[in-house]
Amino acid sequence: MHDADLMIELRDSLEDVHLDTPLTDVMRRGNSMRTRRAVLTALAVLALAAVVSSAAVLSMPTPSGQRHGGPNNETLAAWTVTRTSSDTIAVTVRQLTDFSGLQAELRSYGVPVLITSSMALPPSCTEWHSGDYSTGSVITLTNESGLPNASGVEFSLQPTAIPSGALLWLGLAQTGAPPDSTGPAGPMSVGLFDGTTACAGQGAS
Amino acid sequence: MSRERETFAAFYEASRDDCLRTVFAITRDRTHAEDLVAEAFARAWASWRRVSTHPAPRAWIVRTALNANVSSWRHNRKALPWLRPEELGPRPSEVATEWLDDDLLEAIRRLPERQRQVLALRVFLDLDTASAASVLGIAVGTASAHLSRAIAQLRSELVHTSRMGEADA
Repeated sequence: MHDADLMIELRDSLEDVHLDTPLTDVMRRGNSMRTRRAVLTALAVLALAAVVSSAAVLSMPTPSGQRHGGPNNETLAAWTVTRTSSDTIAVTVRQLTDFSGLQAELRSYGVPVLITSSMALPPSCTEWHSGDYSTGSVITLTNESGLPNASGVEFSLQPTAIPSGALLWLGLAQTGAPPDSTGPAGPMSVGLFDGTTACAGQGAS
Repeated sequence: MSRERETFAAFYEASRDDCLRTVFAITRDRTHAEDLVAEAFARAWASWRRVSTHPAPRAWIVRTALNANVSSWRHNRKALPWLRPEELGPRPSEVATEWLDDDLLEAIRRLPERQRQVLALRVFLDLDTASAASVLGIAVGTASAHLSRAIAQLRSELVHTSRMGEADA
């Protein structure tokens, strides 16, 4: 028997061996891996930021947003949105309140954004725009300490870097306090989803 | 369906059986091989942008399968509803042997692990020796030697078995 014949016989011997696992099962498990990885990445960024950032003083907040406003030593807004250059918007989130106002504010700047008060993936957003949660140069985290009395979450956005048809997701959570309270903003999940109507419509209200 | 899903679905459809046969030939356990390969494909989907550009994605699946932890798939299997004996299909041992050339299977099972790995990659994934060596992280010459020894051993055992059968007749 020649080598080639032997190999053919070997190949034929397992010809009836088939993998019957449904594709949907495989993809469902793969999707859960992606989600877990996204959350772990966000937590790792948070942990790193917590280590390297210094705590800033935060006085009692007010539950409203502030546009173009600088820090106020007496009462700081729940969030601040400032255009720092033609294609960069700086955002500071100090309190987990008035997300609808923040979402509307960012959309008025041309940012297709969905904001949720949880790091969990929005139920109606199922498709990462580019296959995973990566956001490229869209968002740059500058402070994500989220520790009590810290200055909250700070990041900058580049709306022009958001691909056409994509929706930027910002899932904000709170550090060290019950979920229904309104303490300092802490860790944040980010990602780019396909901007379907169902996905875009389930954010802050 | 997005293009990404389409490409993965096409890859899964075209590759799953070959990958399973390769891993089965190496691990010698059909159920375990199915778990390993399913897990590897799930990991491939989780990183599809990277895996899809891999020079040999089927080899990536096999290598990942051989390194995978399959606890979750086993957990899912345990969650299946209980069936009465008459509702069950054939036992795994029956499934595993009904379609196989027993002599060939036994001969493969007796090969040393490394020889079995090289042979499986060569036969069921149709990898050349250099690619098989790359997957296993060994030198090309080493892989070539393992393949030669595996084929020689198989041929020897099959000839021996054939003669024994003739003698019995």
